[in-house]
Amino acid sequence: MTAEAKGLESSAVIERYFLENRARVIEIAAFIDRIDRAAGAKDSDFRMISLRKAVEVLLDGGGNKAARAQLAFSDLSAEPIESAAGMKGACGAWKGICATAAGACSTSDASCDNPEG
Amino acid sequence: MNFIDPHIHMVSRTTADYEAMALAGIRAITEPAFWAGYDRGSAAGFRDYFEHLTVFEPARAAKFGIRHYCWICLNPKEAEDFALARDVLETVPEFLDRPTALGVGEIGLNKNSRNELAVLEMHLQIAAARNELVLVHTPHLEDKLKGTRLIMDAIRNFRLDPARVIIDHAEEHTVGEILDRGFWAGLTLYPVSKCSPARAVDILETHGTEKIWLNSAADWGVSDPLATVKAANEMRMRGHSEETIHKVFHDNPAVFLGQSPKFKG
Repeated sequence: MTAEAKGLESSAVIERYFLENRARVIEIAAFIDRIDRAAGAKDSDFRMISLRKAVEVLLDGGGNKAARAQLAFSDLSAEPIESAAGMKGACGAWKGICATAAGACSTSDASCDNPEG
Repeated sequence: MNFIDPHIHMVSRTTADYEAMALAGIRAITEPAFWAGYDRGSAAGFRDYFEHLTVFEPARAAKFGIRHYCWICLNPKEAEDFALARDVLETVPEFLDRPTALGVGEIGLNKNSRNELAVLEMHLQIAAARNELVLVHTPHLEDKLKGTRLIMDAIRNFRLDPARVIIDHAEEHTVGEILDRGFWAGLTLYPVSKCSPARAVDILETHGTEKIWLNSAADWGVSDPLATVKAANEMRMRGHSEETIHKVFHDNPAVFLGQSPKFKG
C-alpha cells in the first residue's frame, strides 16, 4: 500500500467516527443495565465473561485492539471436536473460557441457534 | 467503476438485486456452493442445486449484463453426514467441468469437527488432482481462529499452491496468518457477524492491498448485495485513490480468478 493510501489523520478519524462509536459505548452500557434489571444470574454467563475480557482490551495501553478483542471471544484450542452432529450455529464466544474463569461460569443458557450461510 | 463481487449467493437473492447491482457497477460475480439454511436429504438435491448454479443463475445474471461464475462443493455444514458427503463428491467433478465453474468452494470447516475435516480433505484431493482453484469458508465467530489454522494446515498437507487458494471470511485476528502463509485473504462485509466496511478498510490500511479481496457474501441472512460498493465509498471518503479502490474491488479479484482460464473478467 502506498504512503498516499494510509488513511486519515487522527483528528479526522475522530471527527468522522466519534458519534457512531459514542453511541456504541452507550449501547453496551444499556445492554448491561438491561441484564442487571432482569431476573436470574448476572455475571456468570460465559458470553458476558468473554465480553468483559474484550472490554478490558479497549482500556489497556496496548495496540492491535480489534485482533486482541477477537481473541477474547475465540476458541483457543487446537484439536478438532469429535462430532458436530446437531450443531450449526456459533455462540459468539467460546464455552471453553469457563475452564480458566476465576469465578462462576455457566454455558447452560446458550442455545447458539443462529446459523449463517 | 466496474466491480467484481467474488462471493455472493444469488440463489437466495431477488432479480431486483441483480438490477440494483448492475446499476451500481457490479459487472461480474462468483457464487460458491453453500448451505441452503437446511440440510439437503440426498445427493440428488445437490445435483439440482449445482444445475441451478451452472445454468439458471448465469442466464438470470446475463439479463443485467452481469457475468456469473460459480464454485462447486458440498459445504462444511452438511459434512457431518459422511455417507451423503461421499455420494455428493462423486458428482462434483461433472459440475466442475461446466464452463462457468471456476473451482472447488466454498469448502472448509464450520464447527471444526473430525468429519468436517475429513470431507474438507476429500475436496482438497479433488482440487489437487484437477489443479482447481479453491475458495475456502472459514468458521463463524468463536470458531474462526481455530478453524482457519486447521484449514491452512490441511491445505499444506495436500501441497496445493497457496497462491491458488483464497481463505475467505478473514477478520482482524486471522488475516495476518493467512497472508503470511502465502494464501489470498477474503474479507466479508456482513452486518454484525463479520466485517463492517470501516473495519474492512482498517484491515486494508494495516495489511496492505496485496492478495486481498472484499465481498458481500450476500445470501438468505441479513446481508447486502451492494456492500462492496459501500466499502469502496468508505475508502473514497478516507482519501484513498481511485486507482487503489479499483485495484481492491476489480483488479485483485480479477487476478485471482484469472488463474482459471474460464474467467473472462
